[in-house]
Amino acid sequence: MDHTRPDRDAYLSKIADFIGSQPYVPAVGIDALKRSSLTQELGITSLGAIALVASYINSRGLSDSDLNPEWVPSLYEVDGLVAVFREIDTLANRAVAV
Amino acid sequence: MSNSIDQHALTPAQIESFKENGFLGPFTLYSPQEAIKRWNQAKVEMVLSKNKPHDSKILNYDRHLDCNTLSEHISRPEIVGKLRSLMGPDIMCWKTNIFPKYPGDEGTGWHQVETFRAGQTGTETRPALKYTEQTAHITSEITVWTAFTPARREHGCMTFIPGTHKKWYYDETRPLKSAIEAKRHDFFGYDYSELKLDDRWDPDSQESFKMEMEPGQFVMFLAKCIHGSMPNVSDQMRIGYASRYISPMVKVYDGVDHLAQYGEKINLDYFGCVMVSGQDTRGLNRMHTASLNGYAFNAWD
Repeated sequence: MDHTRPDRDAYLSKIADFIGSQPYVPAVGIDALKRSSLTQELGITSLGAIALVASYINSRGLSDSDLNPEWVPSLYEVDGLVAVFREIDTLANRAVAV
Repeated sequence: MSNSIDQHALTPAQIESFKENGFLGPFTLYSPQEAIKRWNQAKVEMVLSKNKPHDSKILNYDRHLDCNTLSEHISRPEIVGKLRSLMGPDIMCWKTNIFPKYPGDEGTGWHQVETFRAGQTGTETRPALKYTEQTAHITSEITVWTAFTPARREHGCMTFIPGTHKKWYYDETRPLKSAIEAKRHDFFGYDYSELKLDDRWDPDSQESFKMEMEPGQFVMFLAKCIHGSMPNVSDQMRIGYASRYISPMVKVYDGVDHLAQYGEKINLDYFGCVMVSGQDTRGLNRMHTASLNGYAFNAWD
């Protein structure tokens, strides 16, 4: 889904760094992220993935209410996580611009 | 409000079927799309909750107390209307559990309960429920199990042995001692077949019913009706949400102040029953009229 996006590796690196700063999900390296297609393969549970996204939202200055439940199904996949992080960045940048 | 709930009452034939078999369903509560949407919402609420009933990440009990989607679910008229046909007008929800079954997970072994051991499994034998008097209705305890994902045979659907609620085949008061070896008897890490009253009796030789359900459908059953589940041989996780109901004359967690299971222990300070229909005429239990978030629970007149 996201393999062809030029910024995919940059996002995987960003996600690996962010995961490393969160105590409730196991640390994963960029190589593991590149190799995996499912977040479950990285030891990240479905609730853990939601918690990760919630933390990222807060780190970008957004609020819990910006967490869209429609994102939840895509968090099973690494590329879905990338897409959600990208969308959060877009939302955060838009909020700053406003 | 009674009119809108009365339309969900069971028919006489359905009531007879429940009395005969000990379970009834499936009934449709949500469309598959709606069910999946609601579960996604519930998961977000679970993660973001500032008022969790307990800190356990393993014991997923009672999230109806802090997730609005689940707080609303337990008193849906489609559920409560049917419960009233079997339990009379006064009904409370005492517990909820989430039952995930991951791809590759084994089935849950046959089991039969009525008083529910406080810790659900293990060496704990204290009953969670005490029935203080006979009910004038068909039953004073029912579990409603709602599928929030597909729960067909391959995903690990629930299974029942019809009519087994009429007799005890297991002794639920004995402790569970052994860690599971025979996977087909697996009851959350313990071998429930140890509790059989007659070693020669083989539940697998009985005719069983596979309760296949789509997301948004539910089944109602007596915990005393022997039940279990199939293994999940699909590549999709199965999610069931059990909401458990009793009459107000049942006392919950009498003398029990914590639950211990899977090496975790949770304090029951948060605990309280929730009226979903009628009135608490006995006053035996701690009650919540609102969730820990302040969501006002709905009790049908």
